This record gives sequence, structure tokens and C-alpha cells, in this order.
Amino acid sequence: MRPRPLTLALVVLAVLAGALLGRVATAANTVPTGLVGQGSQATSAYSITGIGYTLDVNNPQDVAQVAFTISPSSARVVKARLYNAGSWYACTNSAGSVTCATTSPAVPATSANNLTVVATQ
Amino acid sequence: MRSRRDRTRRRTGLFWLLLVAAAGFGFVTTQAFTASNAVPATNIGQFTQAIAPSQLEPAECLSGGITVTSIVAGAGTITSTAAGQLVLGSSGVDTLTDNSFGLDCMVGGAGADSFNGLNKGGDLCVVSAATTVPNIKKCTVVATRP
Repeated sequence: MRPRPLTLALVVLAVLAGALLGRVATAANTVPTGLVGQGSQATSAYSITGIGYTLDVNNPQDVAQVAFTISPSSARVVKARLYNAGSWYACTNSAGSVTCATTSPAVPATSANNLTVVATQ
Repeated sequence: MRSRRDRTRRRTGLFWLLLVAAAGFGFVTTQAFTASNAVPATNIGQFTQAIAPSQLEPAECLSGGITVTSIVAGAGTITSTAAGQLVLGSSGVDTLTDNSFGLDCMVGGAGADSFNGLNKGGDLCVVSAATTVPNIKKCTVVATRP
């Protein structure tokens, strides 16, 4: 017995309706909690504490490094700069203890007026 | 006649069953395709904080009771311009002088530097190993480096 064209069309329509219903039912995907922040300490996703600067021992006009503690400690990429529009320096994160050498290019102590740290996982 | 009606009813029932099954099939298939959507968690942040001159001050000066509020730096002759100043030298031979505004913290760096503290004393100095004692005047040495 061959199925009638109308029956086939209704079956196809039913499949499509089911698929559409499935899409609608899954539209509310759950997004896992993430951290995001920009601009200021108050909204930063990372907590930066224990900031310490070290002057160049031989040439104290320049800042040799900045060190701090970052939380969450899992930050993989951390960069810092010591004044707006200054150079970005790569940092090393060892279980939350971060050090950033600021020797190349050198940062004069008189220019170091604003610490900015960016971090991402 | 009756059996024909029964057959028609059975067919209609089968037809609706088929429609429901087809719709269910479509629903389940879509669920299978969309159920594995995953958005990875991402952490990114920016932190900004003003740097106070006292944050650049050597710990020896801070613990010695001087909290600086400004910085003057240079090479050769460096003279303070305000009280509570961080006076920074270079890797060469420098002369660091307190211009009598008030207590300062003076850091000479490498080289055989000279330090001229406040007449009444009280300035704190970080001198290099190359600096000789006669070149340290009216200044308390709180650390020697390099």
C-alpha cells in the first residue's frame, strides 16, 4: 500500500514541528558563571594585594620590578604597566605570587604613577 | 459495513500515532544536537591603582620614620625641592643634597656618591659600598647597596 502524498506531507510537517519544539525547548542554555571586569579596582574580577615596588639597585632612578599577589591564583597571562600609555611588561605568576620585571624599557620612578594590571586565564 | 468502518478507524488511529511518533522523533533529534552546547568559563580582569611616592620608597626609610610624598631623581647633582622627598641618584657618581626643606630619604645607587644631609640631621641614606664615610655628611646610613 503506497502512502498518500498528503499523509507523507503531514508526517514531514510533524517531524519539523517536533524539531522546532526541540529548538525552543533548548534555547535557554545554561552558561557557567564567569568573571569579567574592567577599569577599576572595585569591578576587577581579580584581587590584587600586597603590591611592592623595587628600585633598580644600581640606578635607583628606575623601577626594577613590581610584585603582588593575585587571586584567583590561576591567572595564566598577567601583564602590568606603571603609567598610562606606558609599556606593558610580562609577569610571572607562581601560585598567585606575581613578579613583573620593568627593566626593558626602563621606567623612571618619577613617571611611575599608575599601576595597571591585566590578567586572564 | 461495520468492519469497513472499523478498518477506517484503525487507519485513522495509526495515522495519528505515526504523526505523534514523527513529532517525537524530530524533538528528540533536535535535543540530541543541542544538548551538548557548552560555553567555556572565561576569566579576564583589569586592575588599576595610583602609585604613591611612598610605595617606591625603600623599606629602610619607611621604618626609619620618613614617609615621602614626592620624588626627585637625576644624575650628577640632585637636590631636594621639598620636605619628605625621595631623592634618587644614578649608576654614576652623584651628589645628593637636602636643600633644608625637611627630612628626606636619599638613595645614591652605584658609584662613589656624596650625601649632604640636613644641618640638624635626621635624613636617611641608602649608600653604595663604593661611597666613603667622609662623603656621607649629616645623614644616617640605613642600608648599603649595591
